[in-house]
Order: sequence, then structure tokens, then C-alpha cells
Amino acid sequence: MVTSLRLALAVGLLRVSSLLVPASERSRWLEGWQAELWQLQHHSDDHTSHNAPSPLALSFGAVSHGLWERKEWTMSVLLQDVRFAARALARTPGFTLLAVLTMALGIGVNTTIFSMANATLWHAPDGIGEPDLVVQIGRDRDEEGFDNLSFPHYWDLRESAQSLQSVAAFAGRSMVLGKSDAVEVVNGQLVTEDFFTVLGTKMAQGRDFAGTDATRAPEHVVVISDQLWTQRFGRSADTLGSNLRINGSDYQIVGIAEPGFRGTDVLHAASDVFVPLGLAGLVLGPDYAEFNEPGFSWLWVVARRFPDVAPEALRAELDAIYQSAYFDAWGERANHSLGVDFKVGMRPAERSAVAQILFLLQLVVVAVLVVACANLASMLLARGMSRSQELAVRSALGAGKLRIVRQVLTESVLIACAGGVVAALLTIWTTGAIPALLPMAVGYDFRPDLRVFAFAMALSVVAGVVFGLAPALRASRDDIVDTLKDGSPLAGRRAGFTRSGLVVGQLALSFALLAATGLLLRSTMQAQNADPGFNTANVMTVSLNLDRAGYDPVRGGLFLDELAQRAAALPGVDAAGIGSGVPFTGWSRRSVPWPTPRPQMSQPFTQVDTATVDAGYFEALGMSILEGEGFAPANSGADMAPVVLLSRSAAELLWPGERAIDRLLALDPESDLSESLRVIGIVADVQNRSLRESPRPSMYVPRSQTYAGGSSLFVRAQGDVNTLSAPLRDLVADLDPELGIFSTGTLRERIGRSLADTVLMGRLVGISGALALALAAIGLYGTVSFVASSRSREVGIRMALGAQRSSVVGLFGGEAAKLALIGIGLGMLLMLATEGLLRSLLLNVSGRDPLTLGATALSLMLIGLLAAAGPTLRATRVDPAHALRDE
Amino acid sequence: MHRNRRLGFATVAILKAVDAEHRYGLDIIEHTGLATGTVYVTLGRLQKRGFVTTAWEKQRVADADGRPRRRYYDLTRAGREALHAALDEFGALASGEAISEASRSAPVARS
Repeated sequence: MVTSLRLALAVGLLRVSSLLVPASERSRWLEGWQAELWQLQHHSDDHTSHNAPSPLALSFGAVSHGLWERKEWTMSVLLQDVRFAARALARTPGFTLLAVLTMALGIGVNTTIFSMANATLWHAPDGIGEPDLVVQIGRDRDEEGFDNLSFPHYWDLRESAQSLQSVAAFAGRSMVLGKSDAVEVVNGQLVTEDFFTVLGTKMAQGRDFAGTDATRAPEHVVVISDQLWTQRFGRSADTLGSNLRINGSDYQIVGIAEPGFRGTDVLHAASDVFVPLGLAGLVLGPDYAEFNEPGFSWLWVVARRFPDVAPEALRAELDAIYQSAYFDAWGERANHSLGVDFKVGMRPAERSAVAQILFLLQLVVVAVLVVACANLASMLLARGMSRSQELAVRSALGAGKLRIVRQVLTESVLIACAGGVVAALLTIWTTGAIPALLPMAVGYDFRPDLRVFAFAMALSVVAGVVFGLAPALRASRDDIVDTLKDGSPLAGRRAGFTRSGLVVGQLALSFALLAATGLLLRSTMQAQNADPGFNTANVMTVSLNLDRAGYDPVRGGLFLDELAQRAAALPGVDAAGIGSGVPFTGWSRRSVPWPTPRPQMSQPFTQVDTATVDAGYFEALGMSILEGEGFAPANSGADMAPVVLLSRSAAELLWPGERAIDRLLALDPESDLSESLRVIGIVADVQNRSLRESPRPSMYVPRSQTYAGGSSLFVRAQGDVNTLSAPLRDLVADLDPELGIFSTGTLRERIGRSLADTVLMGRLVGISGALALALAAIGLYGTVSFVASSRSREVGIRMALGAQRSSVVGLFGGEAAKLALIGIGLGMLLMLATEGLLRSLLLNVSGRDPLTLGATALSLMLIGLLAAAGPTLRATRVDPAHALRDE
Repeated sequence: MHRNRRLGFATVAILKAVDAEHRYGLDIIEHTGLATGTVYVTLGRLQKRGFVTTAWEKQRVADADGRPRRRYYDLTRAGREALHAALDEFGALASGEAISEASRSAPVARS
């Protein structure tokens, strides 16, 4: 009983596993195995061997044999298909080349954007060892996001945290290198002595700061980047040990970091010099002499964690340390927690902003790939038409439908993979060109790595299947008999519909991309013409930092006075002034206690943007005094009672509905301005931070009463502002040859930079839109050609019957116009449905801006008709006699 | 590509079994004691490499014996050469000669 059950099972298993074997081999295969089973059953008694398997074991052997046969067969068929497809493609080199190039474009734009994401989001900055163990630590504040810490808080973490191997702190600042004519401004960092240890960064030469005693006055030493060593020192062998002048003092170069390492903040400030943090007062000026005050938060903290500590445990431990230290320092509980970010590089908010932009861009380039795929599907359909005879013959000779589908698919995947290889090579070039497209310099290396190449190949296979599927299914559906009989399949008409559909889809996507480009371009144009409340047209700014050049307030004040005077005296200068707040670049904020109690407010303070300026500042920027008076020697002398100007919204915020002039504004007791300030005037509101934000409440204190070492010169030109660039540099160099200029530029350039994301998107979406449009135009051209040639007999008859050329033009032109119109209509709907994605990037332009959408529609229509013009005109040249004879 | 690849124990055992006139699947399995799947897959590979050929027994022979016909395997010349080369190598291994010496002097298997 049991034996026969086993036998039945074994036989069943044999039958099932025979399904693995290719149909053509199946019966033989099964016969062989059944013979073995029979043998086992009937002759096992004769065998003395103990090695005879049980019937079931034999059948399991058959399963593995069947699997092996299947694998071998699949490989051989695949190889055969690939060989066949390659031969077929080689027969039509023109088609193949065009197809591969189309695919290379479609995949290339995708791998390019993907490699940007790969470099910025998934890779730690270069030169960081075991980056998975490095964490960033900061205050996790709801409004401000991830924020920096004060020195004592860093120290507590370093002394107390058990989950961390080592903790380091750093702060990045611009620094002036060298003197006289070799002055340059680079990004530098002040770092604690174990900074490089925490990051796992090795020195290519020399040493880092490890092992130095953090509690003693640090030596005057500096570690430089390989980049700086190359650019400034020409990789000279005696760089190590030589002196480098930074912000007016000499430091000995003791180490050159491994190539590629430029700190952690490579998005904004790829750094080239690293100075011990204890020298902050010397490097950055007197403001930083007391850098270890508990209330002075200026440090970013990075740490190397132990690998086996759970993220939650780490967070909990660090927050507990922070909370108790906070309570000890301030006698109250913190209203925020300590955040831990398990990545190194960008801060969380930046990372999500970058991710958002890249996601949007990836969507855009996927649209380009879809358009490319549609083009190829359309080309393959046309090729399918011309090959339907061949496929029908193969089908008649016994090739199954599945086999035909597989063959056509193999062809498309082969094209796509060839395109993918070209795209991967293209990406090496395009990623090299990205930095030129970016509105700001970034320290990322966008070159593709293995992950990018793997992405290119995966995308190729998917794209190949996507664009090959429709033609493959179509090919397998053709009626063999019809095709073999007259060679012009009825399916041609259906394929025509499919092609038209593909062209409409391409046009719709192109429309959406071009409309998005138009909106982004209009936003940047709006930015150039926007009125932020001050004059942007011909104002040049020159940013300096006297603190970092060792100036004290007295010397600094005199220097700024002279700079302003001499700048105003330059030929072609209308007005010149000094101010610490540069619109769209840097602006500080100050806590201002509510002048009258506000029980409904949770905080006793409000934040007001603050700048230290002089009368020339308002003049150069063309900001008008609305009420009261501006700064003048008579009201804001150095020895007079302190005064302040408020912006209209600040006055409204502090004394709603009341007159603010002559009121006294107290500042918080920690402030350097201990006395109350008398409001002497009201200034117009300006958008000082971003064109996308409404004006923030601001206050202006006079330079004559307060000193700000980090100040900029603002110069308004009578004519072309760019002609002032060189004289202003010369002027600064003349006053102090060692004083580096941190940045110069017109206010308009600064506004442009503040809209970097819009500009970047505009450029990249524009390139994508142009590519998509070119592909769609080729698609439309192909479709109209196809329709025209398949209807040439009809045209011939029409013309023989007396139709005019114009009516033939109307016939095909009308066809093209119809497709274009449907495409534009669908594109419009697509645009309206997705404009929300763009909204955060637009400025003073609605996502449904009729002007942009209308212009895009018009130009798309025009390009569509142009693409159709060639084949249409060709159709009118049909010789009726010729066409009829063919019939 | 795999012409000069050294043969594994199972492969050599199967070649030797076939050489010793154990010519069909079950017979080889019983003779070598190898797992069923191993024997068949290896026979398939050896066939692809040209070391064995396979042919179905004549139906009348099978009928005369009153059983289903068998699928017989035979060594090709290349298979025999490969077997001998491998046995030389194994012999050298067993007798403690230097392996590199033996494999250098042993004829190379060719497919």
C-alpha cells in the first residue's frame, strides 16, 4: 500500500517536472525517466548494490535534471534571440543608429539626474571614513530646524556620552589667505582637535590636530585641503612646514588632508583650511574671543558612534545629557530637544530640499524617457509593418506567438541596452558639465559610479520592454494568412492609430515640460524686474570682514568712514554707503522685548531683522524715509543718545495702530546696546531675505553709534555698474592690501543667486523640454510620413479625379494639426494637474499663467506643423499615373 | 572556454562508470552511489562538452528483454582521454607525487 502510494507520487512528480523541459524534448525526456523508474522497480532485487535510490529520490533527481535542462534551453534560446536581433538590427544600420541614439538621450538624462542624487543624497562627502558611523548632532527646533550648539554643550556631550566614540565640533567661515596681491578668500573651518579622527579622515602628508591638549592654548597651525595645495601651492614639496597667512596672522601648515576631503558641508562651503577651534578669537576677531559662552551657539557637532548602539538609545542618551546641561545653565527646561541625524553632510532640512528638487527633476527626465520610448515604439511599429512578411513566414514555419513576442522584445531590449551603454558613457561627460549649470559652486563629485551604471542598465531593460511591448504584441497579432496573401496587413490601420496615440502622448508631455520651462523662465525674469522695495538695478556691493583682519572697533570705524568717502568720490558713483545687512545674502536678527505687555504672546520677545547702516546705505539702495528723519550727524552722533529707524511693518508690529516716532525701544539685556533706542524715523518695507517672502519687520541702527566689522559697501552707479567693479577692488586694496574681499556683485546677481533653485530648475527642465520636443517633432514627422506614404494610392486617385494640391496639403496638414491640437489639449490638462509641484519654485507667476501656456501652445503647434510640412509636400508630388499603376 | 578545466570527483566517477560499461542512468547511480540529480545533470554537461554521447536502445532489444528501452551513454575519445588524465592526476595525488608535477606531465583534456 505504502509502496504503491510512493510509486504513484514518484510518477506524478516525474510528469510534473517534465513540464520544465522544453516541449520539443518533453516526451523523450519523460520516456527515459519512466524507463529508469521501471528498471528501479523491477530489477532492484537483482542488484546487490546498496546505492539504489528510492523511487521518490529518483523523481527528485528528475526535478533537478528538468531544472537544468530548462536553464540550458533558456540560455541557448536567449543567445539565439540576441544573435537574431543583432543580425536584424545590423541589416538596418540607419534605423539602429537613430534608435540607439534616441534611447541614449532618454536614458542619459535620467542617469545624469540620478548621479546627482547619488552624489548628494546617498554618498557621504569625500574623505570621510566609515561614514555610516558618523552622526550630526544639533538642536532640533520646530521653527529653525536643525540648529547649532554652544561650546559647553559640545563639551558635555564629549565628556558624558557613552554611546559615542568621539565627538568633534566645527564652524565654517570665509577666511582671507595671504597678503598683498596673493589675497584670496576661501571657506575655512575652525575645528576641535579630534575633528579628523571623528570623521576618519587621513592626512596625505603631515599630521592633524589629534593628541593636542584641548585645554591649553593651541598652536598656530593649519591643515589644508589637497585642492588648496594644488591650486595655491602647485603641489610643491616644501608646502608642509611653511607658513600660511590667514586673516592677518601666520599659521604653520602641519598637514595636508587626503585628496577629496573638503569638510562635511560641501553643498555650501567646501572648505580648504582647517584651524584649531581654540584660535577662534584670533581668526574670527574679538566677537569670538569668548567663544565658549553657554549662550553663544555657533558650533556644528559631529560624532562617531559605537556601531552596536541603537539609534533610539543614542538619541535618548544625548538628549538627556543636553537637557540636564541646559537646565543647569539656564535654570529652566529647554523648549526643544537635541536631534541626532544619522548621516553626515547636509543638514536634514537641506537634504530634504535637495531631495525635493532632484525628485522633481527626475520626474521631468522620466517624462523625456517616456517620450523617447514612445518614439521608439512608433519606429518599431513602422519597422514591424515592413517586417510583417518576415514575421509571418517565421510564424508559418512554426514559431509560436510567444516566440515572436520574445524576438521583437529582445530586439527592443537590445536597442535599449546599447542606448544604455552610450548613455552611461554620456553621463561621464554630462556630470562633468553639471557644475557649470549650477547657480552656485558645490563641492560634490557628480561622476557616475557603479550604482549609476547599474541604474542605467536596469532602466534600459525596463525601457526596452516598455517600448517593445506594443510592437511585439502587434506583431504577434497579425493575421498570418492575410499578411502572406497580399503583404499589406489590415493591421496597418490599427498600428496607425497606435502611432497617432503615441505622438499625441509625446506632444502632451513635451507641452507640459515646455510650459514648466516657460513658467520658470518667467519667474527668473520676474525676479530681475521685481521690486523688493529697494533699488536693485545698478548697485554694486563689496563685502568685507574687518573683525577677521584684526581691526578693533575704533580702527574699523575709521576704515569704513574712509572707504565710504572715497567710494562716493569715484567717478560715475551716484551714492555710496555702508551697511551690515546685504539683501538676499546675510541678515542678522535680534530679540526685541515687546514694548507693551502682550499676555497673549507665548514669548516675551519678538525677532526683528537688524542691520547697522549709515545714511549713504539708504541713498544707495533708494530706500525712502516714510516718516520722521533718516540718520544725520545731528541726530545720531557717536556721543548722542542711541537712535533707531524702524521699517513700517516693525513699527506696526511693536506699536500697532500707534505712532512709533519718539518711542523708546528696549533691547534684551544681553545685547551690546544696553540703552533703549529712540525711534526717529520709519523706513519703507523691503524684501531683504527672499523675493518669495513678504517683508520682515526690520530695524536699522546707525553705524555712527554701533560698530559692525562684517559690513558691506553699497555703491550706486550712474551708468553701467559693472565698470565700478575694478575701481572698487583697487580702492579696497589701496586702503588695506591684506584685506580680502569676501564677495562682490551687483544686487541683481545676488537676487539671482537667492533664486538658485528656480534658475537651476529652469535650465534643466528647459534642456529636458527641448529634448522632448525634438523627439516629439521627429515622432510627428514620422507619423505624418507614414500616413502619407500608406495613403499615396488614395492621393493619386484623388488627384487623378481633379483634387488640387492644396486639398492634399489640407488633408495631411489637417491630420498633423489634429494630432498637435489633441496633444496640446492633453498637455494643458497634465500641466494644470501637476502645477502644484512647481508652485514653490515660481515667483509672481501663476502655475496657470495664460500667457505662458498660450505661447507654449502656439509654438508647439508651429513646430508640429513644420515637422509635418516635409512629408505633406512630398505627398502632393505623387504622380497620379504612378500611384494608379501601382494599384 | 572550459577545455582545460580540472574534472571534479563526481564527474570522474561517472566517466569511469560509463567506461566500465555501466551505461544507463540507474546503473551509473547504483555504481557510483552519487545522487540522482547530480548524475543526470553531470551527464548532460558531459554531453555538452563532448565527453559522452547518448543513444536510445533499439526498441526490439528492449522488447526482447520485456522492458522499456534505455538511454545508453558512451565515452567519446575526448571523454576517455579526459578520464585518463584525471585518473593520472588522482593517482599522483594518492601516491604522494608532487601534484603540480603530475598535472604538468599529464595529458591535457581536450573537448
